[in-house]
Amino acid sequence: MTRLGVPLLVGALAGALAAVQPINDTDVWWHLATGRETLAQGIVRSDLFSWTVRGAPVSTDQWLGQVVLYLSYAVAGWWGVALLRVVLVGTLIAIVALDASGRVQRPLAVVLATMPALLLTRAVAVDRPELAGFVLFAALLYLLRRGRAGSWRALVACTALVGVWANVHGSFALGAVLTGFVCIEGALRDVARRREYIAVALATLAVTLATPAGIATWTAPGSHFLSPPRDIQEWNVVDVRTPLGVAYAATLALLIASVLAGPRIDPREAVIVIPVAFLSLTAARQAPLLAIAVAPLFAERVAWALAFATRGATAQISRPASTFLAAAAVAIAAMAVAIAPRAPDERAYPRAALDSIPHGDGLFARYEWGGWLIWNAPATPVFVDGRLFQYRGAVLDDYQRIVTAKQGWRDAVTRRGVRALLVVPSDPVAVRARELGWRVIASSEMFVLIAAP
Amino acid sequence: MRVSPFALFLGVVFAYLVTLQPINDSDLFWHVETGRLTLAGDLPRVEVFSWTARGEPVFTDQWLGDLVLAVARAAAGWPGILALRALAVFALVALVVDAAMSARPRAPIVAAAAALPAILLSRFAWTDRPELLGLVCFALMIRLLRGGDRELLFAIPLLFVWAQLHGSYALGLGLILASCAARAIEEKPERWRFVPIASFAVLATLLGPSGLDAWTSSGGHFLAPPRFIAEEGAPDARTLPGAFFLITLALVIATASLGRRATLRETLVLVPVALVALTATRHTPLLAIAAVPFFASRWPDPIAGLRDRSPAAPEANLGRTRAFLIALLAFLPIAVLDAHVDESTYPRAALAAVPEGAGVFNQYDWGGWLLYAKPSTPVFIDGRLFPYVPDVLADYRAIVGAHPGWESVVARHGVKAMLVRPSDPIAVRATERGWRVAFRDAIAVVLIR
Repeated sequence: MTRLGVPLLVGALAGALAAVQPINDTDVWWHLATGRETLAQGIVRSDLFSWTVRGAPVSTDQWLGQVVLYLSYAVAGWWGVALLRVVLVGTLIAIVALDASGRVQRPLAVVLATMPALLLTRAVAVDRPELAGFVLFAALLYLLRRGRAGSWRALVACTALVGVWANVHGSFALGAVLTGFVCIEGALRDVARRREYIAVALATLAVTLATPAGIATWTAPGSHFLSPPRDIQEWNVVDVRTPLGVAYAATLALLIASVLAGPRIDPREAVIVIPVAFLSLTAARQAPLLAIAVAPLFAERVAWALAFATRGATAQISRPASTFLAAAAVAIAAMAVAIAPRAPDERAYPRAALDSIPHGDGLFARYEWGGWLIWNAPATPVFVDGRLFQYRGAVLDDYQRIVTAKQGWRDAVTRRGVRALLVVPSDPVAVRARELGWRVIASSEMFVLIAAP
Repeated sequence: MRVSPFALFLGVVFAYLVTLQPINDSDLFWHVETGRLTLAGDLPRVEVFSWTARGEPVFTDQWLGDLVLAVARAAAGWPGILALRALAVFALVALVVDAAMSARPRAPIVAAAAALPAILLSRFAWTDRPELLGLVCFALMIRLLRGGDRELLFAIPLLFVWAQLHGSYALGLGLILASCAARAIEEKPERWRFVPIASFAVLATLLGPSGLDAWTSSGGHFLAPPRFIAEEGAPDARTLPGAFFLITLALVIATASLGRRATLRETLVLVPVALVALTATRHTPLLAIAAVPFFASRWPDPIAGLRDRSPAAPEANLGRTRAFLIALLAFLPIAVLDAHVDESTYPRAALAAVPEGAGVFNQYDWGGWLLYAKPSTPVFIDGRLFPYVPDVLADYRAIVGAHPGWESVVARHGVKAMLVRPSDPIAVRATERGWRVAFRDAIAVVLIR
């Protein structure tokens, strides 16, 4: 219990911070719709929501995450969605703090070491299966470190965890790869446990294939890694000019300083830290992974620095103090539940246009409104939405051509059979269509709905 | 400072290889033109090449770099520019490899491997700009800062020269200050001797024509890099330089985790350089260059066993190596002799249709070339960028992208002609809006209002 007080408190604080955020993610809508369809008709294997790629195969790698998300909605409405986020964020940070407290006793060191993860995961505290992927990543690292330290049960739990993860989110691939690396390193180093490591590595690889998609489960993470969609902000590279970039750069600098200076780090940590650092540099949405992975290393360094500063004075937490912290955590968690939003924030969506948009095929709407339309206007299939990969190629090219009114955009409108445009008034296509005298069906400061001739 | 023959040899090899690269950098032309004015005794302190920012103050932080380029061009034409590039690459590679060799004497394989990331990453900066000279200064600075007091003192005049060549000198100052701090911590007796050294280093950066303003360019690039320019974008693992950078960073972490502990001086160099390298693709070679001695001193030597059994390296061979190097260098003029500008990406054929005088809107990438190729036509914008930030640049983007309201921007500036790419949205829109096509080919279109 003495170890749990600080992680619980930090986790509860993180959950409370997550509760303050509105529900406004552009992808939550199509995740919910897919989860609903999965519960009603079984796993969604082909596109149901668009008119441009209807019937085309879709990725099933997040089916379990989508079902859980929809169940939370079905049970408690939007409040349920918000509570799921609060629980996931709280759990994530609590696990990071627990992992950080593995080799240090100083509560301040644990709290400070968890701060980078707390800051960087703010950007991914969204209502998507992706968030569950981060929780599972943190849990896997905790188990791998325990397994490496001698716990066979922890290693077996890694396999089970990756098995679940492969059905929740495409980030499972990182878990499988890390498990493989740790097992290879363990098998080379510890001859007595070689069979255990090999068995866990092979079993982990096998469970990633025991999903509805089979070997195709690896398609989504593979294509995201090798060909990240840079047009989408979160898939762009980390920019140190942004607040997230500053936090990330500070984390990376601390990591480099930590491995360069001070006491030697456990060389086995390199097997985890190097691949995660590499991956975290590939896209902004991967940046939090680094802060999660290096928390134990930071905790050791901070504890070392504190011991140096206080000339070796110990600062362990007592059992009553830990119990008090746990009670405070419960109180904060209750507050988070109370303040969690009960309705989505739809200010960024064209709700006033809903009554005017035509039913059936032919609506061309902005990319970031696609998911919202799937949920709110089920009788009007979308041209494109946040599921992105199924649209890559011809559909996405035509979307870009039309929305930016590039050369050939009118041909694309005719060829695709677009009947109406639902876009932002400042979009080049909105300006061009008005210049050409196309009829405006409805408009506001946020949107304009234009009939194509 | 004695330089290893192996480093010189690799320097010469890469100097030859870099002569195969064409002269086509879009910024070279405005550097040369600026240098030409400076050479004539008229250091441009205000904008003279454009009609949109004429009279606005401009940076003078690269005046010496521009001057060196202009002198090379005046002395030997385009072969002079190519020779300067070859010389700079020779110096850079030789310095980098020599830093590795001095960290790991008698281990050329380790030295070459340690230098490889720096050579691969800096290769993207082997262009005809003062930036390349800045990289040479950086490599030399890294070499000096690993030495003792004498080398630290030499670092100050180097910083002074660097501050006249290129804005990257700011990193050099940061490294001198970091080294002084590290040595003050490590060498407790007489630690105060580093205070005047650090002070002189700061002073050295202020002795240029810009004075305190010399920091504006460096600060602007660091705090607000123009991300829409590819080389100013954050390192992207999908690109070749981005992938090399990530591998270099991973190697730093791996070497630090598994190898001998880093010294305080190494830590205080590598951490800030890694941070700067993260800010933009053009800064990524810095980490690889700074990490060379760190790698070289820690990586295992695959042929250590063989070498230990072989007799010591014969010093007499050095004479033959030097003779070989001199022979190689003698051939360098032949390699650069037929140098000329590769204008295959520039609108040379369109120039006749471009009107003279103010009022021509041009593609950003062609601005520098235009002020060299048609000096009678001032540019709307060019690669110097900062004189145009933020208003002219915003207007440029509005026009070239045919954003809503582009016509009012055109009217406000009084644009009378456009020199753009056929694929630019404005090329399509302006034609639709009645602009006359005065010239058109696969590269450019000239539109007259």
